[in-house]
Formats: sequence, structure tokens, C-alpha cells
Amino acid sequence: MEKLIETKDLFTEFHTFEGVVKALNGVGIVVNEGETYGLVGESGCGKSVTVRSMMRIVQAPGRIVGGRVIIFFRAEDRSRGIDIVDRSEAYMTSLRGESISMIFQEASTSLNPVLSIGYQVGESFHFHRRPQMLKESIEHLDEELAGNLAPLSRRWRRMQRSLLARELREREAYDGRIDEIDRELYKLEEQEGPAVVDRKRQLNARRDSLKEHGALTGMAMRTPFIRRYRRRLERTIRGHVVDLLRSLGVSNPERIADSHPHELSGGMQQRIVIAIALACHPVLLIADEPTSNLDVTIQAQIVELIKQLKETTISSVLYITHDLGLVAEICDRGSVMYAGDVAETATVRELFKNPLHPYTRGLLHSVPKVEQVDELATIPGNVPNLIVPPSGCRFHPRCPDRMDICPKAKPPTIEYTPGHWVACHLYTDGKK
Amino acid sequence: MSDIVEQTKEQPAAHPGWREFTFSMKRLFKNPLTIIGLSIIMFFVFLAVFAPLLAPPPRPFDPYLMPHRGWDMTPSPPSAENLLGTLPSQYDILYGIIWGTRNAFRIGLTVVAANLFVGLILGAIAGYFGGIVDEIIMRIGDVFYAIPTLVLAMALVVAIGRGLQSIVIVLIILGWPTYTRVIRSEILVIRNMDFILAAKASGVSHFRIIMRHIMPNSIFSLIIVGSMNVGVTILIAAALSFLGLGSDTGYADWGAMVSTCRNFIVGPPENRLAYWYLVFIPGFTIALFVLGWNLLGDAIRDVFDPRVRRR
Amino acid sequence: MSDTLVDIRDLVKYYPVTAGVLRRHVADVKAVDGVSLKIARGECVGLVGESGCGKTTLGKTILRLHEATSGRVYFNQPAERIDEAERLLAQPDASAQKKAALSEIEVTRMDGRRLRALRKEMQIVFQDPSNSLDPRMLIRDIIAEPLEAQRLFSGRDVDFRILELLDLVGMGSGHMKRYPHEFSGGQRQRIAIARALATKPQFIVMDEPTSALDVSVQAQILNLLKSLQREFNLTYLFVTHHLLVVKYTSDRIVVMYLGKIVEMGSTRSIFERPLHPYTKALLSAIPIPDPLTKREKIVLSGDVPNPVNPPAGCRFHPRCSYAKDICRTVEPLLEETGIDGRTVACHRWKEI
Repeated sequence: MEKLIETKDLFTEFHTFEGVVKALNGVGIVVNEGETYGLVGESGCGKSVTVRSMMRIVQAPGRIVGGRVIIFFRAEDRSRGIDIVDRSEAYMTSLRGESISMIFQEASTSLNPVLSIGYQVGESFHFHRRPQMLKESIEHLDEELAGNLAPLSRRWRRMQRSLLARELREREAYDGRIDEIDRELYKLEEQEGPAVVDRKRQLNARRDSLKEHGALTGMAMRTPFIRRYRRRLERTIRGHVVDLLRSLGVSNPERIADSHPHELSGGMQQRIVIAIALACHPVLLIADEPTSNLDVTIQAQIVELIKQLKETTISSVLYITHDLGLVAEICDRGSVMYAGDVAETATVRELFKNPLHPYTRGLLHSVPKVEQVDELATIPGNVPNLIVPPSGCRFHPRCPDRMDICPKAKPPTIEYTPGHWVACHLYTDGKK
Repeated sequence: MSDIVEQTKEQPAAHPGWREFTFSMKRLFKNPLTIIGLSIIMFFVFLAVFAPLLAPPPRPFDPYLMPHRGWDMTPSPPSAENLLGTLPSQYDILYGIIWGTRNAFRIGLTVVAANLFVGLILGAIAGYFGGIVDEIIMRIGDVFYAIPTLVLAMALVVAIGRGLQSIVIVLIILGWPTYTRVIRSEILVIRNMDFILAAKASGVSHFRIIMRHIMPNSIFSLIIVGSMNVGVTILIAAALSFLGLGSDTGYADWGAMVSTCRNFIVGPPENRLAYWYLVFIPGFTIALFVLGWNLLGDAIRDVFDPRVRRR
Repeated sequence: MSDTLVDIRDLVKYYPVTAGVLRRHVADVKAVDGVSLKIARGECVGLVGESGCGKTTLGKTILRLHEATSGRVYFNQPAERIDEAERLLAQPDASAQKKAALSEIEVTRMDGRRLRALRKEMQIVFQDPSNSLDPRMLIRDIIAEPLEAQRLFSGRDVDFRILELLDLVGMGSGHMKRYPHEFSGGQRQRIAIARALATKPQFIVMDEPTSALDVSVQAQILNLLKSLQREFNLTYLFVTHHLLVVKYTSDRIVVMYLGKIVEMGSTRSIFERPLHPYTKALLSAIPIPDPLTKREKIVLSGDVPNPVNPPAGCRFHPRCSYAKDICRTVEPLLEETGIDGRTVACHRWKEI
């Protein structure tokens, strides 16, 4: 399978009032094309911080202080990938929503309560698919112009068409220039040296400063009467929005598109959030505990939806959860995280059948299952304070199989069996 | 029975209340605004406390009467004898500023303290019991809000009679809706929290719930509102004094001092700014005083607001 | 001593909805709409359902933290007295004095003094430990509060008892003089449990005690609750939405939907053979932590409806795949099935 996105030795820290929280301690994850990847762990283990670092939306006072995040779906040279850790913000903005989308836990806070659903879903189209939408609007206008029209409407439509065409031209020119800059940045990635760093900074600055449309078009977009030409664009986008909602199983999509978030139930809101995330057919969907706040039956609906979408629209899903049952149900492969480290990575079947890391084992035994259990096994102790994390392996204070070396050195991640990685001193000699 | 590896091991040496206090103090002093605000207020406290030393009163039985040399109506600019100049009738401005500080503190703190007390009680009743009691209290407060504060204050002071005493009384009467509202909204939030229900489930009486649970949790917002309101109170008091409703001429009161200079705010045509010191000096003092309290209130809020506290 | 500790009859709790300038009463949120339930001494009854089904409201109303709109709750009363009281209430012309006598035994009618004494016997553990402990009180004072309110101990005995309780829940003396925010979620929940045990109650309502906690901490708390139940012969009403947790802890399960009980029975038999379509859907929707099990998933269409306007007839019919005409018009009552003492409220349970 082809790699899609990868992190290597990711270190993220939060500089808070009480101290520096070392949230991520060298996290390495690989998500392949076409698979559902599960990231499991309890609260504070760093799974949310990991994906936010991957998308570079870690909130202040957090910062990525080391490591690489490599994406493989935009590079011409697929074996090398592009490191996005120090790319410009404009680059990341074009990536988010378009190639990688993210949905969060609370659907009601992900939606703006004063804007209509149609507007919010349409925003993705506005931002990422502008040339396509412009072209479609122009096509519609051409069709109308070909028919019989009163001279006034004909003139008005001609004007609309010319303004839209102008915007399209400028946009395409802008895209061309961005592509050039990106190509050069990609070539520079392999090289080193102060001159290179300077040139990179220069290119990033130039990329950020380019404007998407010229001055005249900009004015036309703001002048009160003239800007009505954009209604054509809105209408095209709305058509797409309604189609998208329908394909997600929303009954009566036109009415929903006109309503506001507070008029919908939790499950429906989460569906809308998924719609927004999928509007531009991203390659990767990251879901950060999307169903934790929902009822069990609604959760089942959403899980079914995501499964369906995997067949049709999305290529891969990175699913974060603390619920082992969900992981077992929808994921192909997964990682178990603890206190900023990746404890174990394997296919889901391997993880459940043959857990290697003591934490994974403890976790699996402490979850209530269908078969009657006399007493649940527990992991003694509490999740550690990440300002002063335990030395060496961060799990050692609570580990039933603790050895002498565990507090001293951080265990390396080794591939114990093909496709099954574990970071534990019990296995570092290749035996157990 | 215990299978926990304890992170928080032994009992710390200090009492928990003291620990919280030191934490608050540390956070308070990390904020540069606090230092500035506190310094300003400390400066004024110094002026107020050491007034007899800094500006010895010529008439010890009534130190608030400003000294004056002569009865010349034209104010004199700052000079060696009158460091900050004089008002019309030659009242020394410096003396007025220093002794006026005492008045300012007295007005500000009295009004705010009384309002805190009234607001706490009324707000607690309105918030905890809700229903018709709440409605009545809130609507009466609305009536007070509907009429412009300054206009109503003027009318009341004229009705009661002029003087600083009246100003204090009137401001207390007019200020309670704000505090009541603040406490009431805090209580509305706290009332639904589970720990109140838990106390109910244990059989704790209403009165004890209010005193032990609701009060301590809502008091901090009051402190914040109070410290910010001291500044506003002084401003309104000074405004009322300026309009002539405060003390008589010759008494050390910042607003009254500006009031006597009404005819001299703009100077003669050849030198419009001849009497700048008349408006500027008392005005600047008032502004500085209000600024100090506002900064302090901001800093207190940054430290004690539970949303921001544990950042 | 009767075997039934808590006897609930036709409990109803409506929240009025007001609209308009004059705040007219236009509708009711029918949170709990006629629930009858008997909880035996020493039993753990699991109350499951989704949001809006009324399970939390039911728990709190039993404890009289909310005032019931109508219905009766009898706590620790012999069966004869309960029957007598019920007969009395059935007679519309019974004298007012006789009705007043009810206030001695029936929770929703009790006066202040008797109610306060009753509160010693019934306690509650809340869902969110960060909300259920007063952030400005020391742990020692939090646990001492019920003891002081009930005037059970005095002076040094209070501290002694507090230490005893902390030890029961696995915490130590060093924790007494601290504030809640210095502890983790699991530890706070332990403190809440210690507080609930302070007055030696017979009956404790557990309102989703582990929903806000991590998986491994959840296991610790569940084990603790089980061992405490065994040690003190406590009776639990375990309210939760997590079916696997209920399976682990409860002897009997009561399934609620939109304010009514739809199915009731022993845990084992409900899991083996759910009868009500909603129970079936609920059970099939639980994610099972085993990748090899393949299950037929019943995915319900639509959303959880609004308790203000419950559907006519059987409340579940808009989402039920087995709905027929009778389901749309006539509301099914809870009936005995004769299987394992199960009761179910469905017109078609025999055919499904």
C-alpha cells in the first residue's frame, strides 16, 4: 500500500504558566492510502495534539519543536514526499479542507450559529474550487445567452459573464504563479545552507503576498449593485451543496440548506460537519472523536455513514477515539498512544488478538466486554503529569512488567513481527 | 484496598488556604498592569495618609478648608509659594489635591462597600429563589436604569440637600442594580451545578447552602466589579461636585475645585491657555485615580476569574 | 423488613413550557411519563436509555431533588402499608386527614423534617466530578457536610469517620486538606462516592458515574462500586447510556425511551434475547471491542424525538421497522411476558 501521510519524531510542547508540557515525545505514525487508521488512547495521551500538529493547527501556547510531517499526495516524486512542518501558512490553508479535512467532537461548536447551513457548506467550494465554479457559472450563462432573451437581460448577462470570465482568468494566473513557487520550494527541500534558507523564506513571503484577483475585480466584488453578478456563482455553489447533502443521506436537503445549526439535532449537525469536510473530496479525513457526545444509536448512524463514504468519496480516514469497540469495528490499522508516545502500532486484528505492549494489554482487559467478567482488571495509578513526565519509558511507574532499564532509557520502536511495531524494552532484544 | 500510586504524596507543610493565597499573589504580581495600578493607588494612599505632614492645615479643626492668601479672584499660576498654582480666591491647589485624596477614597470606598453589601443580599435572594421575587427586584432595578444616572443623581441630591454626604447617599441608592445583576447571574449559573444538588441531597438547609456554597463561589465576580466601579463612582461624584452639588467653595474636593474655575477655563484672548493648571491639575488627578483603580480591577479579574485562573 | 426497598408508582415529571409575553403554559416537556418500578434490597438496577429518555430526571425525582408532578414513591415501607395507601388514593372522597397521613410514608408528599431524616438513607453520585464538588471547599469539609447536616457525629468523631470513608474509597489522610482541583477526575469521583457513603445510606442513585472518566479509571471506579455494594449490602440505581457498563454492574435492566419504560428484565435474559425493537437496536449499536465478531447492525433512521411532542401511539413507532397501524394509534402498556419475569411494552413483541 502507498503511504499517504507520515510523521517522524514529532515533538510538540506547550508553554503554560505552570511549566512546559511535553505533549508529544517523538510520535511516528504512517497512514496509507485507502485504509482507516485508528488512534487510540485515553485523555491526555496526545492523540488530538498529534493530528493538530499534522495539520499545523496547534493552539498557542503550543508549538511544534521537532520532527517532520510528510505528505505524499501532492509531490510529483511520490517516494520523497513534502515536509509541511515549515511551509507557509498560505500553503497549509490550501491544503486544509481540500486535501486533508478534519471533523471535531462537538458538532454544535464546529458550526457558526448565525450562518445558514448552505452558506457554511458552500464555503469550501468558494475557497477551494473557485475556478471550477466560475467555469460552471460561465457555462450556464452561455447556455442562457444562446436562447431567447430580452435585450436588457441579455446585456446584464453579458456583463456578468465578462466579470466572471475576468475573475477566472486572474485566478488561473494566480494559480500558475503559486505552482511555480511551490515547484521551486520542492526542489529546494533537498538542499541545505544559509542561502537556501533565505531563498525559501523569500519564496514563502512572496507566496503569501500574492493576491487571487486584480484590483478591478476586487472593486467589482465590493461595489453594491455590481456585485450582484456573484449571485450566479452562489447559485452554482448551492446546487453542489444540495447534491452533497443528498448524497450524505440528508432528506429534504433544500430545506436543510436554508436552516441554521440550532434547528438541527446533534446527529444531523455532525452530518453537516462531515459534509463540509467532504465538500472538496479530500484525500484524507481526520475525525477527532466525532461521536463521543452522541447517543449510541446516532453514533451507529454516523459510523455507517463514514463506512459508506469510504467506499465512494474519501480515500483514507484517520479516526481518533478512546472507545476500543469503535476501533475494532471500523479501523483496519491502529496505534495506541500513551502520554505522548506511540506504544504500539499494528493491524486491528493483531492489536486485539496479540497485544504486545503492557499498556495495550491493560487497556484491553479493563474494558467491559459482552462475556461476563468477574472483576475488571485495572491499571494501577494515574496518567502522568506531562510537565514532569516519568523518565525513560513514560509508562514505567504503572507497568506490571517493569524492568531495571525502563526508567533509564526510552524504548525504541521496533518491528516485532511484520507490520506490528512496539516501543517496549521487553521486546528490544528481538525476543520475549 | 488502595491500588493507586499516589502522585500527590504527603500533606504539604502549608495550610491550603495559604497556598491558594500565595498562588494568587504570585500571579497578581506577574502582571505589569497590577504593578502600575497598585503603584498609582499606593501613591494616593500615601498622599491621603500623610496629608497632615505634606500639607499642614492652617485651621486644624477643619483641615478641609483650603488655605488662601488674600482674596484676589484671579488665579495665580504655579510659583514658589503655591507649587501648583491657586484657584480663584487664592486657594492653594496643591493643598486641595492632597486633602481631596481623602475625600475621594472615602466616597469611593463607602459607596462601593455599601453597594456590595446591598447587592449581595438582594442578588442572592433574587438568584436563589427566583420566580416572582426575582422579577420584582429586577424590574425595580430596571426603573433605576431607565432614568439617566447623572440626571437622577442631580435631582436626588438637590432634594436631600447639597454636600458630600448627600452625594454618597445618592450614589449608594443609584448603584445597587449593577451589583445585584452581577451576583444574580453568577448565582443562576451556580444554582444548577451538581454540588448544590448534592448539598440538597444531604439535607442541608437553604440558608446554609446560600452561605456556604453560593456566596463563596460568587464573591469573586463582585470583587472584580467593585474594584472597577470605584473609579466610575469617583467620576460621577466629581461630576456632581463640578455641577455645584458637592461641598461649598473652599473645601478640598477635586470636583468642587474645578467648579470654582468655571469662568477661567478659557483665558483671555491673547493667551487662551493662561489658566491651564486650573482644569488640568485636578482633572489629571481624577483621571489618574480612576486609572489606578481600573488597572487594579483588571488585574484582579485576570487573576481571580476562574476561567482565566488556571491557564 | 420488606424485600422491596424502593417502590415507584406512576411517577410523572413534566417541565412546563411557557410562551408569549404573559408566560402562558403552552406545553410540557414530558421528561418522565408514568414510570412504575420496584427495586429490591441489595439489588443493582441498571437504567438505560439515550438522551431525552428521562433516566436522569427519574433518578433525581426519586430522591426528591426535583418535585414530581404526580405519582408516588415509597421508601422502605412494608407492603401492607403501601397497599393501604394505594387504596386510599384510589378513593376520590377519602378525607383530607387520611390523605395527610400519606405524607408520613410517601416521599413526594413528605414534609421538611421527615424528608431530611430520609435523606440519610438515599444518596446520589453525579456524573461530572468537577461539577459535583464545591471548588472552594476542602475535601474534608465536602465529606463532612452530610454528616453535619444530619447531625450524626461531632467533634473528633467527624474526622475519624472521614478518614474511614477516604480509606474505603482508596484515598488517604493526606488528601483531606486539599481542594478538588488538585485531583484527577477519577480521584474526584472517589471523593464523591465517599461523600455519598457518609451517612450510611441504603440506596444510592448512580447518575452516569463513569461517563466523564477515562477507560482505565472507569474500571477502577466500577470495581470499587461493586465491592462497596457487596460490603455494605447497598442498593443501586445505575443510570447510564453505556450498555456494556450496565451489563457488568447490574442484575436487572430497565430500558427507557421518551419518558416510559419499554422493557424490563434480568441482565442476562435481556442480552440473550431482547424483545422490544428499541432494545434490539440499542444492543446492536454498541461497538464491541473484538474485531472478529460480525453482527447484523440495526441502524435506526431519524433522530431521537423531542419529549415535548412525543409521537402518538407507541412512542417509538416513527423509527421502528416493525411498526403497524396499531402501533401508530394505540400506546402499548407494559405487559408480563412470562419469560424470565420480563415485561415489555410493545404490540408485536411475540412476532418479532
